[in-house]
This record gives sequence, structure tokens and C-alpha cells, in this order.
Amino acid sequence: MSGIVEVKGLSKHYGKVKAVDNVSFKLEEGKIYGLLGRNGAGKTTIMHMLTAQLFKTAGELKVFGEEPYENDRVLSRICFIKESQKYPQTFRIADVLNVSPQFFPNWDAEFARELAKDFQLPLKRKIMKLSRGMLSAVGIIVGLASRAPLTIFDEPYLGLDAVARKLFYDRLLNDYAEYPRTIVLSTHLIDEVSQLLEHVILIDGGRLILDEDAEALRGRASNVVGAASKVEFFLAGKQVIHREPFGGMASATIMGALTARDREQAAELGLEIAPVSLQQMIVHLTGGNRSGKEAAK
Amino acid sequence: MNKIAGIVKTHLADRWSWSILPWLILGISFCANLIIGGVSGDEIKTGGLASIYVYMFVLGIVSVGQTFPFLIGFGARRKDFFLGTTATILAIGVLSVILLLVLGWIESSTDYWGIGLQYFNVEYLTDGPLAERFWILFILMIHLFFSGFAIACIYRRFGRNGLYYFFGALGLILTCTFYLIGMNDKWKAVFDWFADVSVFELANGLFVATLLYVAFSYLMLRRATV
Repeated sequence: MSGIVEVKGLSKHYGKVKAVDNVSFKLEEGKIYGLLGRNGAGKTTIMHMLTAQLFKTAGELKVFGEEPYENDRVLSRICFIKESQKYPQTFRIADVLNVSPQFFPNWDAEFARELAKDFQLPLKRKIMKLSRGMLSAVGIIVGLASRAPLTIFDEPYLGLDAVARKLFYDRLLNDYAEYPRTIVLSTHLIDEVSQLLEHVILIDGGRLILDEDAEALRGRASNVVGAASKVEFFLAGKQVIHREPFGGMASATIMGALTARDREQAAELGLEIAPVSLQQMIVHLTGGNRSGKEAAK
Repeated sequence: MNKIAGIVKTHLADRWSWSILPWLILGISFCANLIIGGVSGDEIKTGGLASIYVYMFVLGIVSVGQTFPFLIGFGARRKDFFLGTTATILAIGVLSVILLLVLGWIESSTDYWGIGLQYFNVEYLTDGPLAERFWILFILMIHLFFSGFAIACIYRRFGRNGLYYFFGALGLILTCTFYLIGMNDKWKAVFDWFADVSVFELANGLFVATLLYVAFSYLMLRRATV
């Protein structure tokens, strides 16, 4: 497995504000990554630095083994679809599709046309006049049809309805199966994409708090529900990231895999154990509750 | 190479700004002169040609804000953006000046549109041989384009404050210069010097200035972010 992206101690400071603070991670070839975190966590800043659109304050940054800044070998292998992508005022959707092949060597014009039809985009309409959802659809088309070895989607489905989002997931998975590449999805609609993700990187307050295989992560937390006193007894010695009492009952989220012994004990105590969705786990981890953040480390 | 072509293509996709609007503005200005000249019966020497040149200055400013964030977002290098934009203005400049020269030739061979209107022939600027005329009109055009381009690049690099400081410093330098010239009674010498310089020499001087703007713009863009 070769590293497509290698980031070591990456930081971006604006005066005293640390937008990204000492972040290190690695992206491997042919996987779908989720770059998750709350708004303002620093996800977009990291992606901007990967594509040399912003300059780092400190740290090391290698994409395809090289510095991305002014490096065509790197930049022409990345397609970064950002939520805030700007287009020239006079551009129509057709103009975007016309110039895209010049920037993305693997561009598939046929596929782009098909996608435009699927998303029901009016090709002659000016980008300026598009709704938020249509604008997102244009980004999705460019992102998929470019077939770049590293494709990054930053909040790709703002304004898209459920049907269009489903269309995006389906097309993404189909095309990914046919043309494997490294995909980074950055979003806060975690539940919807959690099935797609193979690996999760979680950023909070500019710092990396989780970098783990999605499958392993799913088994890492569980929810315990039962009589409050019994739940408390069960929690002893375990890492708790969330607690919620209701009446004489309590619900708690535990970090760390449960052993067979734990499960037996829970059954004896009459406690119910349920898996925690990725979304719930991330809400707990980034919900401003310190015990959660510490538990992730 | 592919990317530079892509940048030229991106610019020219905006047909309106690059090839229609400048000629529309010039055309309106020309028609106005034609009507005034025809009605009044006076032989007019006009500076209306300046309209297309002023437009090129504006285009230089606008072209950066319109396309730079888009192209960098699509994975173009800053260098590619710079080379592609330069290639675009050189091509547009050559074609525009050829058209202006043809119009000038039509003008002089129709006895100045029959009414003595000198619009495309401007005294001092277009008195020399053909190659010289081409060079002068061309350099004036790209000089104005890159003046606008350089200003837009300062904005890209340093934002609004960058422009405040730049124009503040420029104003200060000019004021001091004028003050020093006045104080030392050198204004006459300055005007005499300008009167002695031929328009061709002036164009060569502008060419050197343009090269400086180009180098300066590139330095700004190298560190510009989106």
C-alpha cells in the first residue's frame, strides 16, 4: 500500500488562531476516506493546503510523494471539489464541462454528459443563475467525470434533495468500483455516508482526534441502557463518552470494545447493549465534552 | 502546455468581455463622432480611440478576479494562469491592433470618411511607418492591460489593505517627485525632454515598463491564495 498523501505536523495559523494545529495523517491508495468534523474544525483548510491553494504555516506535506505547490505532476492528479468553488461570471454549465478536460487528464466527457442528464442540469444556464443544489450537482459531475487519482469532495451535497444525494452515492460507488481511486469525502451528513466510508479522520478545533478504519470504529463504541444504578455499576472502569439519565433509567455511551465477559455481565444486570452509529459517536466525541475528546486519544 | 491552453480557453469562453465589448464601446464612440462630424460639418480630430485602451486597462483588472479563483480551484498552477493570461492578451492585442490599422487605412483612403474625421489616425501616435505604428498601438494596449493586471494581482496577494498601501505609497512618491521638480525649477526641462522623445522611443520605454509590471505581477501571484 502506497501513501497518496502524507501529512506530518501540518499547521496553519492566522495570527493567534490555530485553524489547523499539528495534524499528521496518511491517505492510502484506493480507499474512500471520510474527513469529518464540525463546521470550522479545519477540514477545508487542510484540503486547501493539500491542493496548494493555501500555504501551510508549518509541517510537512507530501501528495503523490511530492510538494504540491506549483507542481503540475501533483495538481493534475487531484480533483478538489469545494463548496466555495468560484466560476467566471459569464460561464454556463456547458463552459465548465468544455474546459474541464484541459485540467483533468482522465476526463470522461461521455460520463459527464450522462451525469448532467441524471441530475437534470440545464447546460445552457449560467452558473451564476443556478440554485445551490444545481451548483453542487455541477461540482459532483466534475468530481466524478474527472476520475482523478485523488478526488476530494468538500460538502458536495449542499442543497441537494434526497433523490439527488442517493444518485450521487450510487454513481460514486459504481464508478469507484470500475475506476478505483482515492476519494475523500468531507461532510457533516455523517449518517448518510457512513456506509461508504472505509476510513475515518476526525478533526476538531484544528486538531486530529481520530484516524481509524471505519469497520474497527463501528465496533469501538456501544450504548448501554438500563436501570440507572445497574448502568453505573457496569460502567465502572470503562471509558464513558456520554451519559444521559432519564427517570430511574440511564443511557451511556462507552468507548472501547466490549468483551464476552462484559456482555454476559450486562445480560445478568438486565442491560441492553446497542451499537452506536458513526454519527452519534462523532457527535459525542466533538460535542464539546472533554471526556469524549480524551477518550478518543 | 495543456493547462496553458485550458487557461486561454477559459478566458476566451468569455467572448463578451474579450472580443465583443471592446469593439462595441469603440463602435459607439466612433458612431457618435461620425454623427457629430457629419452634422456639424467640422473636421474633427478625436481621441475616441482611447476608449478601447481604457477598456483594456479595465479588462486587465477584471480578468484576474473572474478567472484566478476558478482556475486555481481546478488545479492550475499559478504559473500556468500567468502564462495563459499573457498568451491571451498578446493574441488579442495583435488581432486588435491589426484591425485598428486596417480601419485606419480605410479611414485615410476614404478621405477620412468623407467628412474629415480622424478617428483611427491619431497625430503623433500613427505618423510613422507601418511597423512602427503597429508597435506603438500594440505596446500601449498591453501596457494598459498589464497595469490593470498588476493592480489586480496586488489585491489577490495582499487584499484590500495591500491596495491602500500601494496607492498610498504611489501617491506619496508622485507628490514628492512633483514637489522636488517644482522646487528646483525643473518643469521646463522635463517638458523639453518629453518633447524631444519620439513616440517610438516612448513606446520602447513603455515596453520596458510593461516588462516590469509583468515580473511584478508574477511575484504577487506566486504567493496568492484563493
